[in-house]
Amino acid sequence: MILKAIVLLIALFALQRVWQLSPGFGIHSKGYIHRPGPCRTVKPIQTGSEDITLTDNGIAFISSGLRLNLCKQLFDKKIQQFTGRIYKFNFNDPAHAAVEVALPRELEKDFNPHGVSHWKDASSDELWLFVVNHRKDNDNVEVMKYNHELNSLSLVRSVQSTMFTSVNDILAVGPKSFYASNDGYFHGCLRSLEVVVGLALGSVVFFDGVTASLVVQRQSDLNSMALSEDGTRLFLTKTFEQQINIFNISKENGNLMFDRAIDVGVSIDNIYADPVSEDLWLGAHSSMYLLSQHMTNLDAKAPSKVVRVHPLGLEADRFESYELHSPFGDDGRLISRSSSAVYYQEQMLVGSISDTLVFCDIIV
Amino acid sequence: MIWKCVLLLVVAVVMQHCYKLALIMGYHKTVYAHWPGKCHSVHPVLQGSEDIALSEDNLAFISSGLRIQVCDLDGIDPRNNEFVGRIYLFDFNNPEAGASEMILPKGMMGPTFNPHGIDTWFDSATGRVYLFVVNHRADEETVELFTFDRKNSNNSLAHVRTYREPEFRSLNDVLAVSSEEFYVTNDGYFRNCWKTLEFLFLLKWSSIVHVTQEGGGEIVATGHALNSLGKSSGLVFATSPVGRFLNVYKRNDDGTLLLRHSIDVGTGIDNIFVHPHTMDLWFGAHPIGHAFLEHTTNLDTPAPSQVIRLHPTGEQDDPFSSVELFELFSDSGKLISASSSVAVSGNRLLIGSLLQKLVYCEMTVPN
Repeated sequence: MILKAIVLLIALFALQRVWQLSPGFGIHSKGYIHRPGPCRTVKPIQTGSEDITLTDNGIAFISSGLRLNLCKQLFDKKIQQFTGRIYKFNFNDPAHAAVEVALPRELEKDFNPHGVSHWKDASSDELWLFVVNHRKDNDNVEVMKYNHELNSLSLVRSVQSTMFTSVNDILAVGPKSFYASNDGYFHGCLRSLEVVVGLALGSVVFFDGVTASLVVQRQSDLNSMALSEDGTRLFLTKTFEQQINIFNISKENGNLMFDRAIDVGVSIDNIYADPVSEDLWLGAHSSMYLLSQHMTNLDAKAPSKVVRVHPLGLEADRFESYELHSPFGDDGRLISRSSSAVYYQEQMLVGSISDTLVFCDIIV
Repeated sequence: MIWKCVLLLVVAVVMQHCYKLALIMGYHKTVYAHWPGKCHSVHPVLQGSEDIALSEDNLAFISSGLRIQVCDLDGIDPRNNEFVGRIYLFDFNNPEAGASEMILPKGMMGPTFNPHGIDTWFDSATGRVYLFVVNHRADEETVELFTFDRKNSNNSLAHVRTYREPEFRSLNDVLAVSSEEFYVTNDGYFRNCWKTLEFLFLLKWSSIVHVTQEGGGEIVATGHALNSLGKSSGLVFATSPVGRFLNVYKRNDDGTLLLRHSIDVGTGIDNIFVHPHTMDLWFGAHPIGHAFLEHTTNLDTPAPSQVIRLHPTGEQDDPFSSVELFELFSDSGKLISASSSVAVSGNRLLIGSLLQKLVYCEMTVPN
């Protein structure tokens, strides 16, 4: 009798998880092709452009060559041969290829970059680049200084913390301070269990330059972060739940107070907040099913999609109502598994987890 | 023991069927807006532009005012019962002039004229355009044949003939093969309250009827909720908005059809437009089933709209063995609701809706 009850409970729970996960899984999603204008791949990137950070004067830094530490046995072996790199792309000179940025010597042999962010000093124009680095032993946040003339990065500080369980993205809020999102707890094949069962083991860490503290805890499915133009709100994406969570930031201690969640209707990855229009730009995967097939075989195309969330609310609550647009859709022919998108002066860059980088002129 | 197994089986079948219906209803789907360029409504169309047929010289004939109620209980917005059946003309060579209402023959008005699918046939010998129109008369389903003489007509249609066949059960679209031969779809078997059950049980009781010169109709294909017809070089196409697929048939010399491919398009494709130069297939489509139904029960509730282009990529002897799908237009219903038809001329697009406006777009982006 008890056994029957337990079996029933497990079955109901499994059904509920299937129901929650299936929209994101997108077995029936088609990658319809549409463009906002002429689009092309950016040389020489072919092994991923997972995250992009964009300065206010149109310089984009792109992390490339991500080797995800999740059930490597099932993934295409080619992924383990990827080389971690940082590229630079100039929106003011888009015909030029992306240029590889020289890494600090300390990182050359141990660089597996994921999320990126930057901080620019308004008066001195100094630029710091923050990169999530999945080192051999643990996840670090590398804080680096960028040298414009030499196009090189020097390591300022390598931040470690026991609170970094599985860092995905990084959001700089000062030359030394940042938020880091943990997308889960387990590495390797156990991560699938975490996702399937919906274990709430993700979190967001705030590092003020000296100490780290957990500002969001016991959450599942966390991914990427962006900052509102006035620096008072933080946007956090949740992939399978297809949502953006909006938090208010406490000025005193960097704590996050949950404000609202907005549904985006597709599995979103990295987020970029346009400081001019306040639109949110997202790289998205219209089919996680095809994404997972692509991970096991890089030659299998997976659809890509860019979503733009345009706020319609009043100043006090900008995302109380919003419109959803999609400037870019692809079946994988140009780019598979789009994970990020940034916008600058009627131009767009679209990044992918393990594929190309795409540049588009936006004419509609 | 046996009963438990049977019960389990029944539950499994019912659950699987409900899952299929849930997919059709599209509760899991979201629409993202994007246009191919500047778009605007075409004056004065307000009561629908369900189907569009393009003539050789870029004149678009548009059926308007479709009254869709077939059952008192189907909850259709009562305002739809007051719609007036019309044929509009839109000239792609003069898009700023809007659409002009065509003058119909006496007798083609009120309950006698409820136009649905249309198609044109150009007689190059006489220079005359033949217009076939599916007509849901009060008591019967007919196909009306009109002629249009561009030079002498002052925008009027002359009635030639009314086709009535026992195979006409619930007509939807017509496909002209000559001035005296055509195909029509029955989008179901019933055109009354039983239609709801036909839909709920996903019955494959719709058909394609071939009407020949000699007279008489013959059912040449059956399927699930077949809707619109098109043709191109020995092939005939049929859409299914409920099934979300495109059927590709080989047309035999005797007019019978042989199904070659059934292509999953992933969205509710309605009326089909075969591009005269590229041979690509364009569709007006309904991306979210439940939003479409809600719109029919309340005309003020917007329903999303979509235009899809299907480009065949197979070998010459079997071009539709593989295809690419492009989405040219997507709208939440803000500009146009329930897009059912499309016509293309150069880089211009005309989008028709089931019960609402007509929209004209410039396609600035090559897609």
